Amino acid sequence: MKNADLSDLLSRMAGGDKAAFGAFYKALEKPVFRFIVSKLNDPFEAADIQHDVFMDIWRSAGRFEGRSAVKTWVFGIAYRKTMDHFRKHGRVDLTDDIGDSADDSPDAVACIAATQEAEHLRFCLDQLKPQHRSAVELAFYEDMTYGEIADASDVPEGTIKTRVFHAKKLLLHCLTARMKGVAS
Amino acid sequence: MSTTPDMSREEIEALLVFLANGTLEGPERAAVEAAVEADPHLARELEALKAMRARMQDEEVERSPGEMGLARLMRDIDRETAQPAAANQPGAPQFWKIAAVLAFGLFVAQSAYFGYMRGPEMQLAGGDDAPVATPAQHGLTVAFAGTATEADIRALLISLDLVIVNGPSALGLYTLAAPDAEARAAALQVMQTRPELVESVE
Repeated sequence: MKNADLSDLLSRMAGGDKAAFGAFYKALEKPVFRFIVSKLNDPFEAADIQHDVFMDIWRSAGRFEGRSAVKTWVFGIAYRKTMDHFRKHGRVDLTDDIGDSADDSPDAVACIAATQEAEHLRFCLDQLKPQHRSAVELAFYEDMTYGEIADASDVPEGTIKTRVFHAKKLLLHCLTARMKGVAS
Repeated sequence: MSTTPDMSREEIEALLVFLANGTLEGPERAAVEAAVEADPHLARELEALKAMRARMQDEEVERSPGEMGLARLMRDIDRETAQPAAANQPGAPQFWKIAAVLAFGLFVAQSAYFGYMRGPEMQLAGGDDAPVATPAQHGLTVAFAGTATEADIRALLISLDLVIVNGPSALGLYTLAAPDAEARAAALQVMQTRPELVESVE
């Protein structure tokens, strides 16, 4: 669904139109759920967070000012809710610190081969910090620009570039190691 | 006329991700493309990133809440919108009439159900005159389909805000409780449309 259509639905929702909300939900429910569940690995928790996200959307539809694409705004809400969940449960370190990586020369050919196995890719995505993973997922699942990801994550564009840089490096190393059968 | 921006190696590597997803434009795109052209290592990384993106986009979305999630949202939205309306109309006689009829109907149904479940052989510890706790206020009696998995049932109950308060009985019946009459009505409606999970519900 195009941005203008989503924006139109939001306007109708602001006026209390529940049918518009239903259409809006159907258009974005799957990508939003994928975005949340990929970080939690628990479909039930993810369903609860998604519920909160869409309740927020319903309540704040009238406050959408169109300064970003509707999708960016929606993923921004989903991002904050997911990170709040992590903070509340103290499950991860949410700093942007990057650990050292042992090898600086990932094998791109091995990466491509490893990528063909969904299991390897999923394993390597799981190794990323949530905010790094979000940046990669918004880039690759939703084809967002780095500016849109920065808006959704409420951080400067430079931070997104740094996150993507490190996430990409870790992913390529991880995939290389998986393909070579080395425990990463 | 666009100029090639002066970019660090780190920035070019970061922007490679956005060349892979096709969102990079203008001078930045030109600069990263030129860097890729000049460096076979970057070219291979770009291929790996494109493969990664393709793989991620091909992945099936894990079963999302779908219609159940929407039903749950609509129920909560109705609840939210009903509260201020009720506060503004303290009289609202029609609403209370309906609520009273529902509550009475529910009470009769529960009494009949628990009377049936207790049977003649069951004795309460305090004797028959002791007050009976009704664990299934806003209750539903459900038989799940034999093919429904535990995960399916759990997902259904969570999405409808229901809890199991009794069962399974010898007949395979469960007593479920909803937080209120509205939730019960919504759950009943949804369950009646899920024959693959719910064999009977009342």
